[in-house]
Amino acid sequence: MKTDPDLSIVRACQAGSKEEFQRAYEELFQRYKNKVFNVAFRITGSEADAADVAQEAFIVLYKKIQDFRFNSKFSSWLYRIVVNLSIDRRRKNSSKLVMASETIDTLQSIDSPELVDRREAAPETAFGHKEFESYVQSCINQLSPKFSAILILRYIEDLSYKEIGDILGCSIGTVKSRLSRAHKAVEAVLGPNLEKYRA
Amino acid sequence: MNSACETVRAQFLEMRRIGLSAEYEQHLASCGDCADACRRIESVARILGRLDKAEAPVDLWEGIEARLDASELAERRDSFTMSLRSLPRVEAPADLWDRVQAGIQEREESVWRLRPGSVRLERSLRLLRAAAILVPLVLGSYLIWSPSKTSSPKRTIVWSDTAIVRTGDPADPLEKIAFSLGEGSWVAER
Repeated sequence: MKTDPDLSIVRACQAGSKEEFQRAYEELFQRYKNKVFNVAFRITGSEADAADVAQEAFIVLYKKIQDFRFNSKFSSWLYRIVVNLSIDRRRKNSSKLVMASETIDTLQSIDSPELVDRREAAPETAFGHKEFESYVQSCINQLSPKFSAILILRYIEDLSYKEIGDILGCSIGTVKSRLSRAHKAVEAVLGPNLEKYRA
Repeated sequence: MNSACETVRAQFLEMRRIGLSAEYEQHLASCGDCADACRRIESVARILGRLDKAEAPVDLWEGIEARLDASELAERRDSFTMSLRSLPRVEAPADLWDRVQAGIQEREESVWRLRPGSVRLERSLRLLRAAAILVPLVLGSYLIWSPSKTSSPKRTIVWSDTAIVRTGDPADPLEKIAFSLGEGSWVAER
């Protein structure tokens, strides 16, 4: 197993003085703040929730880093914290989402010209990258939190199956089969836009 | 779909990164369904890969610090409250005020530094446990009165593993100390 690139800084957190701990902890924060926030944002689908989850994740890190034993890479351990917190947040928000989707269904039942089916449009071409981002994120939000997480770790964070398995606490075989199911789910959500946006 | 198709589709996710072998390419060239399935897989990967990496907000660190402070305060308050329930109660020695006053080496607002050994308890007072209360004083540590904004009970003084119940009587030595330092709860720091 390769040496963990965060080994020395994590050790400094675990064995150092209070000042060393503070310095090392801040360095870990700087290294991982964007990754942590990005994963939280993509899974929760909300910047406010992501900021909240990211804060919680770093607080867990602050309190639990003494217990980390390098049974996996430090980054995998941190990702695991973030993914679990984000999935929890998604589940907590699910009742609100149900209410929101019921509202949307009601609105869509009204034949309003403003409420076109966006799947028929080509957002990146028609509205630009920001709208493309927003559309794809809305598709991710429609997946189960576990499917969202595995797709994000694989294609946005570009992690290996082994790392994903460490993060999700499952075997490489399970990662492969879950990823395959996540693909089918997102393909279904993207529908005809799948081909339009692949360019 | 035959077994070759199943294998190709199952392994395409992995193979697409390192490049497809000639065997795979051959199968995809001859099997429209597999080519279509793999193209969809590739499309998903490309679409997700094009998403921007969201950057953490600039005030994330401040938020963490604020929550850590709040969490430590809460933990401190909880352990303080638990201590109150479980600690043995003792009475303060009558001459504690005088001893503390006599032992003050430095005075700075709510911090009084006492000369080492200036405050001692006699064993005859049978306050062996209470001796722990004054060990910091004996060692010349700081006696700190911390104005409390929490729900910490103000009628009790806690030091180490012992609680001293405040009487509210202005003549009580601890009440004199409390009055001099201001309302709040006791915190001992070495």
